[in-house]
Amino acid sequence: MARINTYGVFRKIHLYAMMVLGVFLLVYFVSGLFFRHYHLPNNARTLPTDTLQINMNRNMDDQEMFAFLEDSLELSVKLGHINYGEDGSMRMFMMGATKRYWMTIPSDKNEVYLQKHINDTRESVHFYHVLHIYGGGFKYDLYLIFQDLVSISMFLFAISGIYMWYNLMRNKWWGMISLVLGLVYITAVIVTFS
Amino acid sequence: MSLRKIIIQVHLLLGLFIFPYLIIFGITSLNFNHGWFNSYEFGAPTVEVTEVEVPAIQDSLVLATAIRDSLGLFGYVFPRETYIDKGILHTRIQHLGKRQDLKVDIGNGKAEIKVSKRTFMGVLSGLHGLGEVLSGAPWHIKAWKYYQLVSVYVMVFWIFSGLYLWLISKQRKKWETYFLLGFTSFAILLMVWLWQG
Repeated sequence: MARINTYGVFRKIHLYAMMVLGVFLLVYFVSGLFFRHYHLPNNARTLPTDTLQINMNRNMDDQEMFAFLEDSLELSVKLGHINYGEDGSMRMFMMGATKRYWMTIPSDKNEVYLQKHINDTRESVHFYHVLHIYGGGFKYDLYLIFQDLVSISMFLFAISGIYMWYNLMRNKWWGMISLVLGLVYITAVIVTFS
Repeated sequence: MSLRKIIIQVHLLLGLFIFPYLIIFGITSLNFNHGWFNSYEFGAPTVEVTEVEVPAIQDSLVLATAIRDSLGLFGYVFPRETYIDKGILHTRIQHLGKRQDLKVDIGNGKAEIKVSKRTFMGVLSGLHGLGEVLSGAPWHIKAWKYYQLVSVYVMVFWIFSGLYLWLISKQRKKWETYFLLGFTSFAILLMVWLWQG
């Protein structure tokens, strides 16, 4: 019976995990840089609010209301969050890669106020970083499946990397120092915040 | 030492240093999508009473910041929650792990601190995106910004050094190339699809 080459298996896990991670890490890198440099000038635009004569008195729950508005206004967006006003009004935040919308529905639900925001490149790249929570439609959910795959690949990549280092390096001192430094530092940070 | 060996050494040593960040990044990313653990809410508060020397400062925000530093606290001082009413300074000091509501008697220096904590996952989620230097924080918290920056650049280094090591490897298989190109192309096409709305 052929012996399984454990190192070879971990090497392959490490390699394939990074093949999955690579393109997403680059996107996170670029969007992360944009996060840090949010003060830079941009050409994003928020357009004046439109009042739309859409009667929303249709006995729908929030998701159905979002689906109805998305369909009737031909928007291709993901529902972000909903804020509820004390007067019974609601404000829906909808996001797409190049546009964002705030939809305010007053308590009498006789009309809808739509505010549109045109993202600049930085905000659009940022969108790929903050797209969370399933249930936003097929293509958004498909992207989230990829994001989950990336998260799992991170664990696999990190753990297989530790295994490979332990088996590859004869002199483990520098690696041990580096690993312990990282662990001690993160522990100190978490304890300070807790 | 050959270039390959140098790259492997750097790849490994930097990687081991940021290993814990990668684990935090992975856990919190999964949690952002699935919401398994509550990351945002604060727990029930506990009350602590202490004494502090109150400096003679008129501006409530400056006074709150000075008191924060005297008490050895750190975090953002909320301007909207900071005011002086009947000789009592009210303020809120918050960071990603704790919210501290303070009532300080300016006359006698008696301070009541209501502390509400976030969960462990809340702290990890906050660390995922903490890219600013927190005012009044100890040095290792201020250094987080740089640790995170190093981590992000190391990840990019991993991609290119890993690619180089794979390209010069004798064990490289043809179908691995197809997998890499196929997966990357599919991911990019998906992003383009999302971009088009």
